Amino acid sequence: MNAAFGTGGVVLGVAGSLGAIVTLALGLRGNRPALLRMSRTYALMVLAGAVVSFAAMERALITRDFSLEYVAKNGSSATPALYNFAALWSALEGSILLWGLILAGFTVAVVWKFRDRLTDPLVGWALLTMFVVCLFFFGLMLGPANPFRVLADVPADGPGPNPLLQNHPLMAFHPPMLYLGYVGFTVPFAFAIAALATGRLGEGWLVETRRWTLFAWTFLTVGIILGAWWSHEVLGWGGYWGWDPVENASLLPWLTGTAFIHSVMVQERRGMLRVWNLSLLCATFALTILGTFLTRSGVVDSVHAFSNSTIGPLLLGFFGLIVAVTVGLVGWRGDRLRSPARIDSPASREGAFLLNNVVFAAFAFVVLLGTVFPLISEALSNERVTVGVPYFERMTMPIGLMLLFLMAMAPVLPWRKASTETLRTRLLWPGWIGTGVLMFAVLIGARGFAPLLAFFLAGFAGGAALRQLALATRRQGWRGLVGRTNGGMIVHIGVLLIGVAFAASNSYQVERDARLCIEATSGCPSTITVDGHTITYVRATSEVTPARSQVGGQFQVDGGKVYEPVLQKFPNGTQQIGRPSVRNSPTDSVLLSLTDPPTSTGSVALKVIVQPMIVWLWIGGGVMVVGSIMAAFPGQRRRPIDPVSAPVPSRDRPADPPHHEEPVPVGAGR
Amino acid sequence: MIMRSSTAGPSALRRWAPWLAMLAVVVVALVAGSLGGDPPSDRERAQNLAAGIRCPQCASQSVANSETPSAKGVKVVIADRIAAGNSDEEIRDFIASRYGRDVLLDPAGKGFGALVWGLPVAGAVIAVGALVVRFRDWRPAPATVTDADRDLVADALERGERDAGTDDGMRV
Amino acid sequence: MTTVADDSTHHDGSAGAPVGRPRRARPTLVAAVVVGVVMALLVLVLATRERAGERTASADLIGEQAPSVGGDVVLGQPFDLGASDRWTVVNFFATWCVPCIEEHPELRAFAEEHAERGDARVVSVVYDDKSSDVRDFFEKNGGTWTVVGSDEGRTALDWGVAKVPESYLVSPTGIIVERFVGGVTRQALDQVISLYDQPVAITSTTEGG
Repeated sequence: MNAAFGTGGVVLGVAGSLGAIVTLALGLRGNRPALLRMSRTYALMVLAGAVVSFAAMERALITRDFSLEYVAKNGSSATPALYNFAALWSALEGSILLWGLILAGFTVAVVWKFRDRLTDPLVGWALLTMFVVCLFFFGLMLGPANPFRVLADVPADGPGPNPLLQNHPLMAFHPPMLYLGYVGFTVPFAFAIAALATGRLGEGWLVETRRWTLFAWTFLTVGIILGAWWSHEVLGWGGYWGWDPVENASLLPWLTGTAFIHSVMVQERRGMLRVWNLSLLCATFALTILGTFLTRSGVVDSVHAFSNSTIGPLLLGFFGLIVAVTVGLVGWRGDRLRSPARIDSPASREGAFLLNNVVFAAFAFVVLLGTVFPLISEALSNERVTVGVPYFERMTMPIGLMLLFLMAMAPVLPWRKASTETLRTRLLWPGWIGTGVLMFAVLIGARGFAPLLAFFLAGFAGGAALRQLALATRRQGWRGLVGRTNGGMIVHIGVLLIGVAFAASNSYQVERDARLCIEATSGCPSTITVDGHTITYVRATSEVTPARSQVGGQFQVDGGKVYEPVLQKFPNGTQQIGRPSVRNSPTDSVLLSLTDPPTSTGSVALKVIVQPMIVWLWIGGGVMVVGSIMAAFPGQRRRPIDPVSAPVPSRDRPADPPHHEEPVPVGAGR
Repeated sequence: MIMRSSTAGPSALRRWAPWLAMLAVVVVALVAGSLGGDPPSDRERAQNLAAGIRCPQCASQSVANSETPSAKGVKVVIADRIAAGNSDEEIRDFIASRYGRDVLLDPAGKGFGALVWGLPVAGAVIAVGALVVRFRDWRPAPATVTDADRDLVADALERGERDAGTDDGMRV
Repeated sequence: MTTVADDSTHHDGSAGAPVGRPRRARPTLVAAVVVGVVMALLVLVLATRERAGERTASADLIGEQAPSVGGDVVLGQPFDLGASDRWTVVNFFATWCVPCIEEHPELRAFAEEHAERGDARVVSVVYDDKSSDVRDFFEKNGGTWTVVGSDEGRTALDWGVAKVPESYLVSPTGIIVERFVGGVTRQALDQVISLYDQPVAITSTTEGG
């Protein structure tokens, strides 16, 4: 029953997408508005199909319907409800189902937002693109990634999701947030394709898609932060970012997305970098597909990789198609669409944003190269190299410092041209704040040139951001905290918190392995001191539930609360999975992890890792999200006086002919 | 904010004094923070080496972050060899001789692996170079005003007063 | 017209191209083509990769002098790899490893057959296991050859072993001749031995593997 509904939903999605593609194609070619308006119906059809499939799968998981192969492999009667619900996206086929649902949702959202302009070819092309993507993902679910395969022999129970995915509730939220980000980037991509296809590159579509991009970018940020948080709480070595291929796959679109968010401001102000922005949007979406390929095809080694599947070649093919279409369109149209404006001086906000884009492009290049290099080296030289953490850290450090420097300069730079006078006066206080942070760090004992330089630049940049916020609130009261520039400054502050915490926790981590005994003997103490924290072994524990059996130890930290790291064993596996216990405080985190089970003689092998400033990573992430929301809040009203290339809503007009000359827009207000 | 012109007011030194002071403090702090420090202890050396060697049976974790049997074995051998006085390079070479060069997380500086370091640097140089060239293209040529220009302007003004119409002012 | 740069009259970013004349510099097209070619190559590389799968160590010890086998003796007689007049099978195993359990009867048959002839012997090295478990295992399943402890993992590292079961075949002169990843069969061992068991003494070999 569930399988029937589920497959029916998928078929509905495929049919809707296919129908939409044909209808829209005919409508665009023959310039028939009636056909273009039908995209609304098809979008609802695809969404209905997605919802039905999703509901069918959740119902199967929650009622433990083991006749479905997916539930038999990933569900279990012993798993708690939350994890069973989240089991939908814990393996490959289900994750594609979640992707399809979110994609269908976005398609309907686009249709709704542009409901008065459905007959505009720009919107028509955008929706056509989105339906093509829908067709791809729903098509995957019909064939190689079918989540509704039925088993002939129905097993009595299932093994449950991978044990590592049952460890922490955060794991249930991390993928949906990530997917909202990934899939969200489909919308700006679709509009970029539409702009290239129709040749209409004015600022109108840009303002529309900027909000979508920011929305997707925010969710991607949340997804990445949640992933890092989960890693830190669950993996036993205090790491939160390992430059693992799957992590890099999520970072790549974030990098190009961030570059776009900045360079789009140059386009709005000066009408420049139009083709570059389009390319960024297309690259962002292409990178989400490439990332999906890397994580699901199994060609790269990763702790995160999904189990093997056959959809690898299909995803790679889709990636190739996207790149081909983008390159083709840009190559064909790009030169005619480039704007005549130019940057007057490198010392200007445009110049800073341009440099920002170069640095982010370099960042993305380094991460992509490092991730695929083992494959390239194997292909070309038959020797396999491993590109690990040391490479990424060494390469991204100068890039990170450069970004901190730009964050310090850019907020005070005026548009068009800055004089030394301007910089000298505006940057003075931020400079002193940076100096203060540096001196404070040196005084409390921080050492090392790179982290100290990072602290100085971060303080500097924080000062610049706070200066902007102070000026804005002085002028406008609470409205000085919302709007693009001000929200952006808050996001910067969040980034700086993360940057400082990253530098501190990486450079000043202290780790110790020790054997502790309940009763202190010579050679086996009951208390150890690590970096100023005392840890005392109190007792061993053990617990058996239907879902898992675990052994652990209770440790008192700093004479206060008791923390219990455990080793868990799940019915479907033979190995023990360690789950550490973390004590977070504003200054540092103490992570306790068992390396061996407690012995019957009262001793235990414990690993203690003390890392400064870990919580500030998550706080910084939260500040970034708050800043994004503030940035989306409309700030000072900008009355656009420049012509837009999309027709005014109340009239149905055929497409404007592509125009090659556009006056440089002179925006009102900021 | 009042902007002072650079030709009036206090001398350049007085204006830049706060910045010079800041620079001095920053340099002193950075130098103080980077200097000194004892040579890495044995435990630190072991930690660093462990962070740069992949656990032989894992996907990409370093032995520092892994408790598998082969990772534990590598850590034991690292400790042995540090105590025996081997240098970091010797220890890494030995482990690579047993498990293959790809067990080192840091791609070698020679051979094909050097590309992974070289390409980004080359790319950065090219990108910055391209930007510099572009900026030079963008700088407007200095306007030299000739007599012909002046005549043209005079005519246009005259015409303007006559027609009481405007030039198309949208073209900058 | 004047000599002041007035690029606003032009349609594209290339400065100086007069209106109407076909543009010569098309930087976007060039960039697009370059990106397209690079991406195509990347897709080609990615398409031809095999699944990463389980990693096995890639060092090639074949043809080299065998490392020593350290560690305390868990079972059987004391052992010295160097002084030998016979073939040695160095077998890494653990009692929790299913393929090791499966290969055990093969090793037993091989050991018994060659013990009579006196031309080959087996030595097992424990990999991350408790000595008591190993002794129980041998008691239950037979096998009288020497079993040596893991020496905290040092022996496994010396032999480049990261996963079990793995076995090496060492010639009477102490040269590693073959490496068996995964379970070993008595037939496979005999085959390799017969390949090399010529009257000519083997000092070193560059083939194999």
